[in-house]
Amino acid sequence: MKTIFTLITILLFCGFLQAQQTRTISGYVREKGSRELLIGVNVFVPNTNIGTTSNTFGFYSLTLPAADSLVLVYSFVGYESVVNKLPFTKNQTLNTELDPIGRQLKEVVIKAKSYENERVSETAQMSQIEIPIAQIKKIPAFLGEKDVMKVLQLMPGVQKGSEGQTGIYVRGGGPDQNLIILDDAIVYNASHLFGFFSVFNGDALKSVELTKGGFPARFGGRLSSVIELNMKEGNKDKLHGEGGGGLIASRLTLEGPLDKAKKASFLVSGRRTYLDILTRPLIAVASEGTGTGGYYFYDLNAKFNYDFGQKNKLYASGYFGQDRFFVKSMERNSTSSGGLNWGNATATLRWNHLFNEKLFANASLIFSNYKFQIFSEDSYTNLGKTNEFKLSYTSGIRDFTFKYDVDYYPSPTHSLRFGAMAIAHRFTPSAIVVKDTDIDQSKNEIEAINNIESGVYVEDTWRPSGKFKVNGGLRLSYFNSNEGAFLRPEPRLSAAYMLKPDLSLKASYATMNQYVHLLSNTGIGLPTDLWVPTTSKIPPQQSNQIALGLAKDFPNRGLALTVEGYYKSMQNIVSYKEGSSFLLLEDGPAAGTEKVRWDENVATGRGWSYGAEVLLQKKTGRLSGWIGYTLSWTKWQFAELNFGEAFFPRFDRRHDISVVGIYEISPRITLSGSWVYGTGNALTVPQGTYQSYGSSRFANSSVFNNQGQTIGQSLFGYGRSTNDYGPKNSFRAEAYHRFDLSIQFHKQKKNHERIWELSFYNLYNRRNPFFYDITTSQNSSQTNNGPITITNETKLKRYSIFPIVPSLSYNFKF
Amino acid sequence: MKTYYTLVLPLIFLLVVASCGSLVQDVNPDRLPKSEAKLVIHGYLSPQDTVLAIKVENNKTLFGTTVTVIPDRNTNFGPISAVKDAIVTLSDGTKTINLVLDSRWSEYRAAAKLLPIVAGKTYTLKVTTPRSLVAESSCTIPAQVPIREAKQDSVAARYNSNRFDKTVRVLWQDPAGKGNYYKIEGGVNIQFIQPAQGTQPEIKYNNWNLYYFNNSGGTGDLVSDAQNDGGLLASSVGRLNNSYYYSAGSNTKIIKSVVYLVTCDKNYYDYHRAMDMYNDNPFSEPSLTPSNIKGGFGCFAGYNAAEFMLK
Repeated sequence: MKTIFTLITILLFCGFLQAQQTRTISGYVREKGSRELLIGVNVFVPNTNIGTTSNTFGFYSLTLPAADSLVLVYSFVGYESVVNKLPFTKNQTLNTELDPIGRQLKEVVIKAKSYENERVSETAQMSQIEIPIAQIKKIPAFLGEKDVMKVLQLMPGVQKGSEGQTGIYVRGGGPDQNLIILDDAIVYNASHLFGFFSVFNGDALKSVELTKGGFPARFGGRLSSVIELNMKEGNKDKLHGEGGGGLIASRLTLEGPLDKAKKASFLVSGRRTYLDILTRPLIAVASEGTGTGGYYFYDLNAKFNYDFGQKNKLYASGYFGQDRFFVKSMERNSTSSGGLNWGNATATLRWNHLFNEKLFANASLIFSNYKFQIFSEDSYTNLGKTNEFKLSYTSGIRDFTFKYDVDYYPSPTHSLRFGAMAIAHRFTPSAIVVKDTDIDQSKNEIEAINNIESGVYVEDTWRPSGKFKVNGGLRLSYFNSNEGAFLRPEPRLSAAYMLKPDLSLKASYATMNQYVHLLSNTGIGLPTDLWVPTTSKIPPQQSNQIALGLAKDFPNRGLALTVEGYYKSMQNIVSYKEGSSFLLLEDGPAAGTEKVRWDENVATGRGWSYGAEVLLQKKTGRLSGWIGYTLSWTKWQFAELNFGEAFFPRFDRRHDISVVGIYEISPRITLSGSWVYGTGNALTVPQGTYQSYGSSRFANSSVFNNQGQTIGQSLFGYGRSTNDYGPKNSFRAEAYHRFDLSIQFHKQKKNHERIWELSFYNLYNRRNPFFYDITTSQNSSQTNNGPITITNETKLKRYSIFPIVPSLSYNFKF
Repeated sequence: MKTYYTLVLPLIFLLVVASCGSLVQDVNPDRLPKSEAKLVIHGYLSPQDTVLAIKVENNKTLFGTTVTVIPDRNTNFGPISAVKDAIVTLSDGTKTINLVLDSRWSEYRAAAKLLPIVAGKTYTLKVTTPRSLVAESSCTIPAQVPIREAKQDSVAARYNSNRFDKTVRVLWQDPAGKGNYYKIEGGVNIQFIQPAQGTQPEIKYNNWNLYYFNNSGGTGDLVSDAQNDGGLLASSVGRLNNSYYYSAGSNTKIIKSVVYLVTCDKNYYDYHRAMDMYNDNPFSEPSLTPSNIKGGFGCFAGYNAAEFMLK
């Protein structure tokens, strides 16, 4: 041990020069049984600060001074740690399998040995949240639909928008500023059912990780967060299945090996809602058989992989999901139908290649497509002639991406990552197709914009001493369109200094650029929200963020505490100009007018956000969960909004609290609960009202003499009642709070495990605000041609959408 | 927009109704936003008018119960909207005049010859009431910009392809220097003659039918030189609905057909733009209405209109 220490000390000062005296150990870490590759496993030499973590493909590599023997620990949340002892006189390949801590252990005991837990104080990375999928499946969910995005919203620094919505607001950034990647493919609209459910099916996922700040240089393209989701590869050992049904949807996942040598495996997962099947007969009855309609969404995930051996691996994965909302009515001579469809499709092909034990590379080919369509079709038959009218409006974005990433582990003190990527975007802000046989007219307008977004990066995790860790990097991002090109450097730095064992001080700085913008004129995450590129009128968005924090581990209790403060400034963020709208369906541009450029409806401004976050987390044990608190301020300033004055955006939230607890009452019963509290949204609500009059050369009222001739005119046009809103977003909605509870009953049957889950959303039936509206009721009374008394009563109403919602679901695994 | 709402709203309401009625609740009165009493002032000065007119009204609280009593059924316009006891003064810096309430218009008025409105001059308005509410504002009259050309055409009527709507598009040269604002107005004055019947004499009705310039996004009648300073500016295409002039027969005739290029100040432009785009849909961000009235709401602005007769 002492020898190793001495050698390390020398190495710390000599770095690469001493390379000839080192040896490398490398390999893959897998789950025992399924042989699923594990991401983020800690691989370290006990009682030292030498270690690494396995990458996205389960690969690790450690270069250490040569020695007679080496002790290496592999530890990962939810798995039994493995300690390997081996001779270390030459380079080694060591693939390791970790055994998941199963329910069959009856008692889940945290072992006293401190190194068995992942420690937040030991990494340079800060502002990062990682939630085990197994834990997500135990947290109460709305209608039993487990949702990764909604669990992320329970973390400090991450907020939801409105009730039930999956949109994520990270450190004062909007839902458009999150880079959501599923197996390296960007997902542009991560929501189903107008934002109430996210597109990610937990059964198909292996890991989810959210980064709020201190971004490593390998990520870029969004201002506020990176949400990285990885799909499971599929069990290599034997066929497994998992599925279930709740009140609104059912799911089924199958995974297993494809060949006898167990080199190939697959995973297929599907989910569909059945609201439409339940409502269809009701609509048919209500419309006396002439009409039908409904809504449903579905998801399909599939992955296939082939293991050519230690050196080469191939992965193909895809996601396809759609939301469909439709209405149809049939009369004797006419039919009409219409609807909304939207959905994402992604496909990723990845090839891992291990050049040598220190050099790992991955090449990815990625396709991503988001499309929204609204359509209406009418036809009627009159005197044997059929007239048809068809209208379809679509918008969307389609990407082809090539990405090449290299991990290089040259010495114990350095791990390098570098790579390059290029995305060919094709934006379709609007495509309108109109066909009208009545007036023999058809129109087919497609507006498509092609752009190239690319980036190169290099980052190094450097451990200059046992107490100090730095992750420094630089990303160069480039965006090219026919309206100009942008080349922007993005420096990134995060550092951790170990103040004492289990306590470290961390700091980070990151610049991010975003070349695609989301336009949303509702703020509630409708599929009509539109992705548009940077143009000469809308420059790239940019953010600069600094964060400072403390990370403390309490290894004996399995607890981790992080406290962070941050300041983030954002430039060129976008918003619709007040009152403008994108869909020109109602009228369309009138004949002879020039088309309005869509980017003329967009205002750009700046924003800034600062705050403090506290997270106390316990990932394992009989009682697990976390407590999170966020204190934050977010402000926006746009020349064209609120008369140029700064204002709080809708989602500015002073206080945000979440408490999540999961308790394993017995091996068969799991109880979980979550309580959230958040300051109300900042909204614009009228304070008073007055009459506005415009000027008009053709005034509205004239005074006539007895002969009906005009004797004079008003100088004013028609008046209109105008609300006095005060400053923008100066009204605070009532605070949001809610308690959810869930109880799961597990039972091991002969060939499968079944889980019944009973859950209550909003257990104490809080009427949380979804939106506010003003209602006026009028009464007038008159007695015998006498005076008329008009009574107006105006009220502000709060609309809530979810009272207490109980649900029951059934799940199984085999 | 309409189609989209007809599809989305039922779904949202389905969600609301699927729960229960008590999900809609009145907001506790002590949480309601409060408004303070302010004067609402509107006045537009131009060298083309023979009368100076200022509207002085009160704002109203929005929430709560208001009771209006209309004393007599014959005065069906209701009580006049103006503040009755205001003192309204208008000054050009050297001369100050008082405007008095004309209840026929619900406006404070004075003859324009008492205080001529001249391009380049600045006018200050002051309104006080016995309730010690004070509102002040000032404006400067812009120079007139002539219309160079008005292009007239016709297009198939939107809902009846056998008929045609008249269109007009106005072109003018923007003077150099940013910050010029314009509003386009146009109309056709049609006279309808009701022939004498028995003892009833012949009656002539005059009616203005206006060109509609608000096509693109609702603000097509307003133009600024921000994108094309000093260039040749063009209005959006104004459209006159066919139903008006197609009814022109032997009993009707066109008296006057005219377009105006109203050169205005920024306050005028911003206020009219806000009125055009006004939106109180609960699902979108409401648009705020600006005001250049110190201590009040509304707009006090100057303009200068150039007239152009259409053939």
